[in-house]
Amino acid sequence: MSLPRNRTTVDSLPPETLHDILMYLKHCKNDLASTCLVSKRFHSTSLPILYETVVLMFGYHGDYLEEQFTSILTHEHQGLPFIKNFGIQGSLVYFPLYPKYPLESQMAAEITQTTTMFNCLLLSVLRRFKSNQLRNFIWLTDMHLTPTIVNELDARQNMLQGAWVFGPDDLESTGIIADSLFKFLNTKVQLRDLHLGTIWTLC
Amino acid sequence: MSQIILLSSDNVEMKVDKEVAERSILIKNMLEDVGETPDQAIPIPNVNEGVLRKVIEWCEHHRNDPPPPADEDSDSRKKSTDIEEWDQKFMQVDQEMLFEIILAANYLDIKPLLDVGCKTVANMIKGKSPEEIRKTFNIQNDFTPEEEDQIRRENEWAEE
Repeated sequence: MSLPRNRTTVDSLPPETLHDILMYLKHCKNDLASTCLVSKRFHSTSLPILYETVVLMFGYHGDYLEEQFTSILTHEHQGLPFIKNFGIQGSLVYFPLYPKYPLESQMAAEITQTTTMFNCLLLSVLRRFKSNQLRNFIWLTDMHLTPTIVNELDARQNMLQGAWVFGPDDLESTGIIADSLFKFLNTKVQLRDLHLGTIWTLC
Repeated sequence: MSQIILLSSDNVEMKVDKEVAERSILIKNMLEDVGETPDQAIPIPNVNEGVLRKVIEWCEHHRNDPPPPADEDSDSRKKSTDIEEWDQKFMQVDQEMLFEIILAANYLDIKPLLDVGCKTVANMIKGKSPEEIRKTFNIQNDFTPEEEDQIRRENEWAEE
């Protein structure tokens, strides 16, 4: 279908105005995923907005987290270079039951296994980032953060302004995470227990 | 109340209150540079009569609005797409006029009007599938099926 010449359409808008429009959808990841698929112009304008903050969210047992990592780890991913704030959110264990009751050993083993897998996937993602690309690291989960992750952040991400950590719900291990993060973030670290709502406004 | 004359791109003169015209930062700066209220019409070469009338209508209605907050930090600016009722009605125009108003607001540097226009378009996008967005705005899909597949895979994490 061809339009009459000189008609003013969405294509007549300058790039910065299309950007302003799509910025209103910043927190509607679904909508930005749609605008990415509209046309090449929409794609290149939507991508930096969609990818500025990427928080992978999952349900109990880590449901859907692996799929999300797979999506982020797509070969030659075009959004990855735009990520400034990255992290995951969710809990492996149904919260009210933990840590009040000791976990059955089978469940504990499963959690260890799942945690190891997700830490490996996370490391693969972190290795794909350019040096000093990240501004915020978000870890809102009851999973342990392995020293390998901390070392990777320490070695290559020196522009971090903050890390939001809400570690496993027992003080001792949270203390360990806090210590190591403090080390690698030197003085800049802000350790806070934040709800995701607060993070959206901060990022 | 001093008045000035604006001249649209299709050579139509319009008399407006200076205060109203000064909702446009472009015109405001121009008048400040000149120093006194000019007798001659100020040409607005990029905006035709119909659109200029619409823009002036908006400026009339918003003539007493407080100036927008000074810090133009995009983070501090509320990213809500709520639009007040009068503005919603004002924006109920055909798409061509809607984009003409946005372009004029951009050219004339009327930030609050530009915001209302952008919000209106954002609301038209919300909740729609890529195909529905293309239909709404008459946009050609210029992706190959392979490119579309790749983008879909990359963005899977973002879909609920």
